[in-house]
Amino acid sequence: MTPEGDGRVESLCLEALARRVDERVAFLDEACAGDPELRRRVEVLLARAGGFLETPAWEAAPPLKVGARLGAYEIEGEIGSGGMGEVYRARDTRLERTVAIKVLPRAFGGDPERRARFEREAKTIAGLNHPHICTLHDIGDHEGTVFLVMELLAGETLAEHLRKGPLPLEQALTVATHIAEALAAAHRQGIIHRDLKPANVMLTKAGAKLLDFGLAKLKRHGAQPEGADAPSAPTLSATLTGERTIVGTLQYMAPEQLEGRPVDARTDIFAFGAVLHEMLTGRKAFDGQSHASLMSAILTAHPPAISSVEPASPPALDHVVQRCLAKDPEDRWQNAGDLVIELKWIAAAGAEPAAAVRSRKAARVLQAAVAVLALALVASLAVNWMSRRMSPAPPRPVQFTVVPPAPYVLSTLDVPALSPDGTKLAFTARPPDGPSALFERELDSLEVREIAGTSGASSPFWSPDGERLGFFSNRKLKTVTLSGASPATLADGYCCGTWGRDGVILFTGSGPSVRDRRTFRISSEGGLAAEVGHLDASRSERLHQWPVLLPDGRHFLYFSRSGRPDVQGIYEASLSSGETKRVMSAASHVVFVPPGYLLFRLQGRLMVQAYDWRQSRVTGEPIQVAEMVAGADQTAYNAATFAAAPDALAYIPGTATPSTLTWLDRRGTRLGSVGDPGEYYSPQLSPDERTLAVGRYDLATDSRDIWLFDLTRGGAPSRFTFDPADDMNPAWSPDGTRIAFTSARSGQRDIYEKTVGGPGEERLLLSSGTDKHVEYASPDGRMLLFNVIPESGRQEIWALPLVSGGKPFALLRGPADTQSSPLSPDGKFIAYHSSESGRYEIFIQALASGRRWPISIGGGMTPQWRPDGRELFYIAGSRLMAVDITMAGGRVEAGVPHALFEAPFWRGGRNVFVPSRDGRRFLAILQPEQTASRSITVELNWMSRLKQ
Amino acid sequence: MRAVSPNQTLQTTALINEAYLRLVDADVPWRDRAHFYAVCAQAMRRILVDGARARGSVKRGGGRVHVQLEEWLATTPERDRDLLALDDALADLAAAEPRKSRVVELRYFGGLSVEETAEVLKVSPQTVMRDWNAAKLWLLRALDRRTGQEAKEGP
Repeated sequence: MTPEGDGRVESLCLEALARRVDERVAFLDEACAGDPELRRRVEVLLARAGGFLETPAWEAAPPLKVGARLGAYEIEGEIGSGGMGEVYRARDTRLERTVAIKVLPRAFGGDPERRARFEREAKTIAGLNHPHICTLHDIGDHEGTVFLVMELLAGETLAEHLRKGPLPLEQALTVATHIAEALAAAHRQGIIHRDLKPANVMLTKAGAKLLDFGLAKLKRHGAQPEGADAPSAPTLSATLTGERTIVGTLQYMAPEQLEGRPVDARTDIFAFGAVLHEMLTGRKAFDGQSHASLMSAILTAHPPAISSVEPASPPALDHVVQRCLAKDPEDRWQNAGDLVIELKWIAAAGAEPAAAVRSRKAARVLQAAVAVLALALVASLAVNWMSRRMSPAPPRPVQFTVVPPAPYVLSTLDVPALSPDGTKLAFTARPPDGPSALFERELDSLEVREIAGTSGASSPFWSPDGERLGFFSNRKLKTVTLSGASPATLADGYCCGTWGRDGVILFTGSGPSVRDRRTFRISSEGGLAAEVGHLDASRSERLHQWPVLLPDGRHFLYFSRSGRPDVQGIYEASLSSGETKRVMSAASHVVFVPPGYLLFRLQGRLMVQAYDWRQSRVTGEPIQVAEMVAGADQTAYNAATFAAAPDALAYIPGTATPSTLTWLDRRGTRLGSVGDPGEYYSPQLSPDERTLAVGRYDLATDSRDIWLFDLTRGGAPSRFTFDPADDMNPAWSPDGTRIAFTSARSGQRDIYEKTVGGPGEERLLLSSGTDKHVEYASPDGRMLLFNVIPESGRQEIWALPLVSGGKPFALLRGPADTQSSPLSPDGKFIAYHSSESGRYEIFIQALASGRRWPISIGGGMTPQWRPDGRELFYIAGSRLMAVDITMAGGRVEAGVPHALFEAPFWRGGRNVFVPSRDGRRFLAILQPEQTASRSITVELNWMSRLKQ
Repeated sequence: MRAVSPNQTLQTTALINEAYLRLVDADVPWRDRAHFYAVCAQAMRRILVDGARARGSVKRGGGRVHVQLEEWLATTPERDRDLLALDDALADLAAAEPRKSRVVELRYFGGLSVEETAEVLKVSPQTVMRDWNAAKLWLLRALDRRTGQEAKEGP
């Protein structure tokens, strides 16, 4: 090719690279029309350039050499290079034993969340401890390299062995039984292999051993949604050389894996069937020249019966294999344990066809017996592969606490849920700078498990069989199994679900207006959501929330919020007739416990009262069950943080030792506190720094108000707002004469303003059907910023011009929640935090150009400007960070963020600290010293208290 | 301002964010973020390249440079040669198109994202992407010339 030709290839390649991937084909079609040779050269260069230098220099991990040390392990040699990384033989220098070490891809070192999740998985796998599962001894981390320490196995893989031909019947049955036993053990613990194939089966003197359990899950990279079990997509898309690589990975995949549908234990059983077929016949169950034909075979073709290929093989085995390879998981063996029984029967009955017929019949009888037993034990379980113990725990003493695993902290504004049989607890927790997730704990075990695929979850609720959870995330109603499998998004929803026996789910709907918060029903399998009942505006009903289905599945309870005290409270309604009847007055939701009790929070205390749901009336007197139960955010949630079921009670104790307003200097030395301890939110200093406006929650009235502290004179604070509904988020006007704030007094959160000093005139600034939260005033006093959650479900920042007739407009719309957004002192830039990367990070954006600059690294929240604009402060975890800022010509130059000090900052609200004008002191809301993270108190046998 | 020496703990096996966080916690008085990133990237490059060169010179009995790489990390002679060739080519690129060379240094040795690189160089992210793509092609051509091969034909 000529130099000119080279240049053309390069410039075309450059132009192609400048286009989006999906546009490149069209571009090349046009640019290389009529010159296929040119096109080919451009494509070759594109392929080379695409990956060139994309992985940073140090990440392309060079292999380990002999004598290298990974902590206590010394590398002795290389065993092979698996699909997941290099495998070495190594010596554990402490225990003087030889092990196998598998080094994992570099990506694992960097992401703490992924690492944590992986370690939790590994712990469960390590606990499997089964003779036919390769034991996982340890996970290690040496200077960022994550590695697994496993049992060193001597022998060859089944794949290697099969290259020589099929196995003799007896050996095949033995190996198959071992594998099935391993699967059964793992499935019982909720672990699915997902990548069962001959290369993952080692044939050792002690029998077959399964390798790489659960690791196939880790092949997912970034873009895969959690919980979704796509087939090893990276392997498919990162096409390397030749079809063989791709085909090799697909061979044993089940139809649901290929289609990207959720997988469960039966997926492993399909793979098992394919492996068994190959062991017996020496041929692959499904094959094809290209991956397309292979996929088509898996989806539609049926492998020949074993006995037609190997006449000596018993017909019973045909049935076993065929049932494993059923296309629909429902038609397969549902349970590896059943498979084990069947295989053992076939082996015991000998290899003769006659005996096989007998054994097949006997096996069927046994199977039926097992099935009947299973049904009896397991009742209405739909999928019984997760056969957990269903009998309730033996009675145990009283109380214990449940905490989420570090670094997660209980979501303070969310409500936990107990399974209907009272054996399992679900709750949400979040890490310091990230979205929440769902956790589950069986009450008779100590392990708290995170449920995959539940990022951003709130308001969990159980299915009647206790195998699935419904929850809400990003304003959507979702369901998931406890293992994170079968995730499903059902509808738009705000919160508060209840799941009935016939697959009916009731929930509180969501929409742009708070009036959309009423009850809807939907089938747990999906479909359209239908409205149930409606708000009665003539009786000032603002919203319905917290539906609870009653035992007949046709009636339910709900909470109605109304401006009228005689209307607000708990109602019972009929799904069929739509009739409703008021049961009692209430400030927040109720929980129903069969046979007939209501639990609710009254002035901070958890109470129980007998309730006859058939007659829709309470009887007797309420009895106190627990003191000081925390209340979740009043108007938005109308809930208290407790859950109840027959004989189990779970609640988050109310704050006995609330927070303090404390002054600190730049080194974190405490200089003194302001006022008494209490529950404070969203402080802001007046422009002259003489007065502090802060939100405070009062347990006695169960509401929030704004208080003012005179900082020059000290003394008790004075109340600023008096309405019984929540008033919060104070924002000073730049001239210090007025404070804008959020108030829920008319049902939804609106924006008001009140003059400071004197009688204080209040006026409504903005009212609309959507909840709005005041953020900050602009430095020139002409606009007030506030945040809203529109239909998209992602929080946005809006601005309200403070002139008569001013119409609010959207200021900041991000790909994720955007909050906590003070304007810079010159009014030209806005700082905010956004969770678009999966973790809250700080950005500064220029209002005029929309250009933005990332400021924080490793997370950050609630930014505050120093009043002269030269520094920006924010919180990262428990550290107060400071960044030097220079703004010139519409551009921001940020220095490197550095930590000033660490302190136990309170969490929640618009902001938890304010800087003084000179940036030398900070007034912060701090948790009291001795407070560990919040915990859930669980009480068993609470109902014995009722028999008095 | 403290100069970064190889003895500063910029561990090559840690992602640069972790190294950065350690420095931040140690209250290093960096004031200019751009400078910090640029220095880190240069240091990374120097460490890796020096290491590769030292391994090549050991055979010839050359003086050993004190290499900060974890000693147990073995690289293959091919990887070392590739790295040295890239370093040379990058130096040539710096003479012709300094900003493109800096983009490569920041992204490949510093591991910075496109947005971060844009911040450091004070240009738009689109400019960074254009430089990045053009630099990659330039380097590929330079490396090919070096090895005297044409671009490999496809399968």
